[in-house]
Amino acid sequence: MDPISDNLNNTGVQIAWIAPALGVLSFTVLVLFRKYLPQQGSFISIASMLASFGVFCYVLNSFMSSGGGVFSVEWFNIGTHSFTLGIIVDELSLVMLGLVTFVAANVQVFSIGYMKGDGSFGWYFAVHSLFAASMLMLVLSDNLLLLYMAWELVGVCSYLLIGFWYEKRSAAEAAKKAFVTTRIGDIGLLVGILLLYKATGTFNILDIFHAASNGGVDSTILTSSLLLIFLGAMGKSAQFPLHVWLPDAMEGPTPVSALIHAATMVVAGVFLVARLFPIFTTTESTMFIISTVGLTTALLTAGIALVMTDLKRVLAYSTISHLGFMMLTLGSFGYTAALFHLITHAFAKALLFLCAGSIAHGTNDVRDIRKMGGLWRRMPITSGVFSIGLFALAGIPPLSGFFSKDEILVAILDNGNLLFFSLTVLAALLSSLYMARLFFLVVLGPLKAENEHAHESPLVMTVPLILLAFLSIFAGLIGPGFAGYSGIGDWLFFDKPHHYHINFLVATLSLFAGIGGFVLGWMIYYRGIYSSSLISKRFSRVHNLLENKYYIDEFYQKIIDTVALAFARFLANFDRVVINDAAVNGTGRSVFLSGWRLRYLETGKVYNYALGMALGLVSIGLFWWFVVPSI
Amino acid sequence: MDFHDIKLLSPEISMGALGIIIILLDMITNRKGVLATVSVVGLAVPLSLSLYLCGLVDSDSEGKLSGVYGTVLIDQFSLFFKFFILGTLALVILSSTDYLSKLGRLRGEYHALLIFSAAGMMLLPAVTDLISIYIAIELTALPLAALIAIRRDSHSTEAGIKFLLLSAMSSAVLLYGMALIYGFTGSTEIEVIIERIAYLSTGSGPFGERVILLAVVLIVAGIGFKISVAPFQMWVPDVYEGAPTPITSYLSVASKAAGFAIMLRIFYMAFGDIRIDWASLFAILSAVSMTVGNLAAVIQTNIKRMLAYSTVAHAGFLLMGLAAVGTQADLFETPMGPGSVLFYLVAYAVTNLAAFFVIIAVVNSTRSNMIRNFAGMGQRAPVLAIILSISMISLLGIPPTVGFMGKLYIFSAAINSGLTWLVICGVLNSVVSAYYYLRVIRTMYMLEPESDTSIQIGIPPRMAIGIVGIGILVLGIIPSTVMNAAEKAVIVFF
Amino acid sequence: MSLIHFQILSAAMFSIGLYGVLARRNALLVLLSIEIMLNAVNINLVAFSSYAESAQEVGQIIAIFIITVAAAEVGLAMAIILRLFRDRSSVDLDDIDLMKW
Repeated sequence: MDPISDNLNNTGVQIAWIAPALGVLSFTVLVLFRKYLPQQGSFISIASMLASFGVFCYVLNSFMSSGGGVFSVEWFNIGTHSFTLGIIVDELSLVMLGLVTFVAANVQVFSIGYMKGDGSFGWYFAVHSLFAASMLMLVLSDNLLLLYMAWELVGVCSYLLIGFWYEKRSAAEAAKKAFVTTRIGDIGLLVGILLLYKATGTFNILDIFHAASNGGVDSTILTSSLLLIFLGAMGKSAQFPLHVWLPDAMEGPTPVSALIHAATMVVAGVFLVARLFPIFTTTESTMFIISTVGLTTALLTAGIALVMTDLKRVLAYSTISHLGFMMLTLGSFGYTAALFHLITHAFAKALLFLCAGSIAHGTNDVRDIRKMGGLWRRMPITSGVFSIGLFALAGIPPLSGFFSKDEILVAILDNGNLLFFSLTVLAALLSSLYMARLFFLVVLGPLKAENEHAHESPLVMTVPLILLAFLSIFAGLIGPGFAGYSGIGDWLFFDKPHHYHINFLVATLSLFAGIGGFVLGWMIYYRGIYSSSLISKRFSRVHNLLENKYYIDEFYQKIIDTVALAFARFLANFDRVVINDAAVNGTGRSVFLSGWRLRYLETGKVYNYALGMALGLVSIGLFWWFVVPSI
Repeated sequence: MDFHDIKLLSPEISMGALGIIIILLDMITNRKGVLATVSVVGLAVPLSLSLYLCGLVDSDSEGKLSGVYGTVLIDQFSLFFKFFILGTLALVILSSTDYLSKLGRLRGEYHALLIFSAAGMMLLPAVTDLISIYIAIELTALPLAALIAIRRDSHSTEAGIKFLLLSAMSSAVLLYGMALIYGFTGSTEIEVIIERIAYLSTGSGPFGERVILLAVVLIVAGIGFKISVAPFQMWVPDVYEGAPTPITSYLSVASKAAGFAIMLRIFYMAFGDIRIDWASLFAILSAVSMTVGNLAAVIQTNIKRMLAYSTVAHAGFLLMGLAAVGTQADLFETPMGPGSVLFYLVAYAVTNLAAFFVIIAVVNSTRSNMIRNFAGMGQRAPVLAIILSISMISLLGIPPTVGFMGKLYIFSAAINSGLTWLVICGVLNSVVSAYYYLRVIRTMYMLEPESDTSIQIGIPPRMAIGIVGIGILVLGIIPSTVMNAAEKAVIVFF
Repeated sequence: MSLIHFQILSAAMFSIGLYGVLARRNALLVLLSIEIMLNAVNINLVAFSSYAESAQEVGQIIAIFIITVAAAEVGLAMAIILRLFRDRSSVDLDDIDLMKW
């Protein structure tokens, strides 16, 4: 990461804000006028997305020639503190800018076909635009305050889109779950940001780096604020144990899952850690926690992905697992590798989800993978690109996933923790295995009765698929250098350039994990050498555990039921019984003789309220008298 | 009482005159619709007089004008609240036109009482004498009690008597506290009280040094009633439910603002030197209010009751700003607390008025305050539903609304004063509040409507709703004007 | 007779008034109890103003103000209570609980 200076002569830096602004504009237009526009205005949203991509190209071009920079304007003042509204253009934000605009544009084109005939077509595109705008704001912002605002906004958009088919009760429930779970993380984020602000006196990211590198920040405060910020990242990036919302979020329309819950929003957590990498690296303990959480997530959820039967849920758990890989790599100081994987994963996972959408579209909403099979006969294009996506993520060379996964393994090995390394290889093997499972069960195999009338999707859906498939194949090439290009480590790095190198041992292991998984999958799911049902019977305990997702949801439900609701009920009762009913009753005899019986259940009585006030007065007095002894 | 004094009180005097004109007009005209117009247009007079005072204060070398035997102090702080109250009043009058046409009688009284009460609220931040404070509080409360009971049905009357009795009791408590202060310091003027508290030796009063503590506790209890902070919040849900909805909105915003204004005035000016001590009390009251309000709101099914508990919770957030006086170590640095309270009051006013105005419009058609009767409003009244959603999001404190900015400001102030535990409590509370605020949005968009008839609203409420709806977003994105005004207003305390 | 005696008288009256507010069920009697509380304050103020050397006559002025405002308060309260009585033929606060939690 180069030191960033204010590069005010650079027009690219100055116009980058247009990208999010276009999204906001499109949202506003769609919200107000979608009823009067042909196609409910979907073309406006797509045009704005393409224009944003154009902005990206322009900014990229000027970045190549004259470098990045910061562009900010004053926003408001609190006391002597001044808050700015600004954007930062550097390698990281450029990568994210390109990724978000490209994937979003593809997904929106795909949605034209997929969402056709939906009553709220225009609303869907409006929220999509708002989402893209806030995501772009998130990745471009140069201060944590703006970042937090964008962070909340993407959360709101995600809420709206998950609950898009709100007629379905499960969708409405899932939306709420996602919102509340990520907000738990957001508490951490907000408090962390405020603590950091208190310690450094600024929200500006570069100033925070500056303050931290000067040693002006108390290390305890720094560590605790970083851990809190990481909690926010965990919520958004669905890291264990806050991952429970993401699989449920699959209740939303499939293109939404592709864009938000696979390629863009969920990597916001990874992005946040990467953005604050210079301060994260100063605290060893935080880094260790990040990598541990990442590894745990990657391993545990890969296991769940093996037994899920709903196609989108398999993909969702796979997403969580891959996000775990990224966190793990970041925690192991593998900045380049993590972001490289972020890129390749985004393309491949968006592709896979869109394929799932295309399959649902073609088969009249079959979602259970056991009811799929032999789809290549009916949906050749979808199956083809679907397989490409699977291979890419499983890490089969020479597709993109292989390169990034290899980089991840190298980074973890370089960090020197052999246990982590071997567990990562295991997780990689598992991830290849569940991809193989999908491949053999969905694409190959005998054609099932349900799919007899399956048909290929229209061109408007397949073209984005092909584009994404193309990138899933070739995006890996940005990793290693080739003719005149020195590799991703040469421009997207932390501290010092990092040269892509093939570690022979690691490459073999990675290859083994990728192909081994497929061979194993072939044996289990295709040839039935080891029948999967037999395995699940043999290891029924493990299978049960996996199928119930380690009972985490049940655990949370239990906690919510017993603790939170009980507490709320307790307070309601407290208000009712203790304050209102345990009050003086008055048939005119004596306050103290009859007053404290709890038999008067009617409330809403003035004198009870008066008693509450009097008691409040007395308790404040007593509190102050004893707790704050002197004035 | 010379010309200078009249000049200082001119906005309030003109408010009183306006109220009387309304009553007289009510007697001679049959077109009652004209009353609202006259009221709103008539507010231009106190507004321009306040602007005139604003100019005087700006040109004054000390930035303050005092008069009426030292009991009235016109400075940026009191002017801020004058504009605040005038704006709220105008919006409430605009929003209640539809409501009043259904109410039928008593429209003249309705407007006049609103204006009288607003005059009290405008006076309240400007007075610096305990007697005048008491008079201003009663001038605020008595017309409000009449307004609460103005619908004259059983709910409204019940709310009225509850409010009046409890308000009178809290006034008595407040007065007892004031009497003790007077007895201890021998003066009712805040300026003099400051000096005397500073040098009076301990143990000279009947209760020794504790007399101040007792007095402060009584005053906190008395004003705590007005600002609906726990444990003095129990009247709030009943009164909010029973009162006519425009009055509820007025109560929740203007009355609370005036309460906080006097709280700031008394505590920063008179007890400024014992700041650290009362701050810890307010911090605890803040935590209690937030928690009680939010948890009780979760189980509500009536939207007015829900917002009543929500107002208790927001009183807790506001108290957080009052508690943020700075730590002992950095008393030299200007605390952000008072400024954050003022900004949050504006944020809360805009947001809550938007919510209540939509509720007035909807309830006028559906005749029910139940949350479930908001089902399908997304289809029946798309614009109203969007504005109610935005205001819920703002109450929840999510960007880019003004509610977020308010929370941010208050949280920063608190964290700068070392109240990290309180901030964490506040953020946790805002998560709890997500539960019931989102439920309203969900009901509007995700449930089937009961009927297809759209909601009809007149032009004036439409204007009011538009202003506050846009205000939520505009102030959320460009908060600097109001923030600067708030900071300029509280400079007088330091 | 010293200041402390008046203090005690005032505190006792205030407490009696508060007790009345809490214990009485008749809205009118509650109102009267509040008047007792206000009068306790008045005694306090008048006593202060005649004993404390620096306090001049301000206390008596406040007392007059309080009496005046209390009269207005009672007037309004009577109006509402009357309305209440017409509505449910009772001024018993036990009956006034249409709205509750």
